[in-house]
Amino acid sequence: MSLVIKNLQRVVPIRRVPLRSRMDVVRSILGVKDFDLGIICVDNKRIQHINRIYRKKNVPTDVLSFPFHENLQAGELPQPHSPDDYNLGDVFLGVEYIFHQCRENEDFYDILTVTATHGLCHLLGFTHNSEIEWQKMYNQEKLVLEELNRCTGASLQPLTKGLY
Amino acid sequence: MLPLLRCVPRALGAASSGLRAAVRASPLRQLLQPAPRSCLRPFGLLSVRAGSARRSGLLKTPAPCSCGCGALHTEGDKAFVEFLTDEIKEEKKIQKHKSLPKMSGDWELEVNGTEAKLLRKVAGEKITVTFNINNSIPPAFGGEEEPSQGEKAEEQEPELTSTPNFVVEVTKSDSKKTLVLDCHYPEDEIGQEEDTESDIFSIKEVSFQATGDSEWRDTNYTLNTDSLDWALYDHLMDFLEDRGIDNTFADELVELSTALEHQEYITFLEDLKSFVKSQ
Repeated sequence: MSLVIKNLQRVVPIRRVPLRSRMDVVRSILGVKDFDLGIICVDNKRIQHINRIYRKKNVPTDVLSFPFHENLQAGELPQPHSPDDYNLGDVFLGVEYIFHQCRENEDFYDILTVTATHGLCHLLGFTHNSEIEWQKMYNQEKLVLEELNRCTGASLQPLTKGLY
Repeated sequence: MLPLLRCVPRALGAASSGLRAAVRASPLRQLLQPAPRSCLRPFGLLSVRAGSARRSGLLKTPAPCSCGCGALHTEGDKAFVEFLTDEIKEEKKIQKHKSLPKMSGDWELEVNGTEAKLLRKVAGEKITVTFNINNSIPPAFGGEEEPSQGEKAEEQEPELTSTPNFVVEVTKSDSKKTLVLDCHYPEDEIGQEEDTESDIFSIKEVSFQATGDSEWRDTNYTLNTDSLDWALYDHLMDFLEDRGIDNTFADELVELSTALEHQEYITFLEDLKSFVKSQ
């Protein structure tokens, strides 16, 4: 099944291939390559608009996830009943926000990958509303990124590091 | 004044051929006969004799206007010219760009009527982007919402934008082939930009054509992206991005195309006014 990348903004130049190649590895590691996934790159204006509508927070943010399968237990893979169910949902990346958060020595596509991985974990039922939930999510992200680091030689850390 | 004449749907070609077909099917000659102006000599009255049927003035060919220009002048033409005068005035008032906006990056612009060509050279590669502003304004939907109680309906015209298909041609200096990519803007309804999740532009078809060959060859393989592998599609998009054809370019092309279309529309109205006036 497909990873579909869309770029709805012009503030930050986005090359799709580097993001795709990294996320293909992440999807493999998570065992979800059979599922459709959408990654949509948006600017601050758009992500703030979405944040306001769906989370009542009128500020831009780095990532918002919209799961296809709601109420999944953390780390539970969806059980599709039909071909249409092979869908995880969409991850909106606030690329303008992420770009401005990037430190000087950080690779933008590495940070995009870390953020998209975080968003993907949300699609798979992980949350960080409590310390226990956060611990589960952090462990999952760490596992995935360590494997990704082994494949790519990067040294990525989970987005949720230091949250609690 | 609402620029009512500017609601030109994409299917204008089909609509006009439909109109022409309707005219052929049911002749409207009687309706096309002019109502004579007062300056015309009343030839119909001169031919009246006692006891004979009066010839219908509608069947007589009207004499040329006494102004001597040799053309036909009707009350309808006069009203038409007055209408066009007002329309041209209003269109010039709302004209956003008096001259064509510039594209960022070192693009050279050539305009030939309704066709525009952007040219650029990047490290031995020649890149051209061609588009035509005819039929480039998508139909305006909406406007069916009723005003809420107690409020007047505001006269809100949707801003007409021109989103033409554009063809990118990439020629490398040592190649006899030109890579041709047909790109489209999404067919979204106007005013729904906030909620759409479409790319700003997409590649629809890709093919090779012989460099310098002005004729399009149907026998060359054309890749349709509708069912293309997404990874390959992303490579094509990155290929264009490297050559300056990215979302910024696409947005600026809309500005340019809209300005050109508006300019051509005003020129057309002026030509129409001169033609109808014919003085």
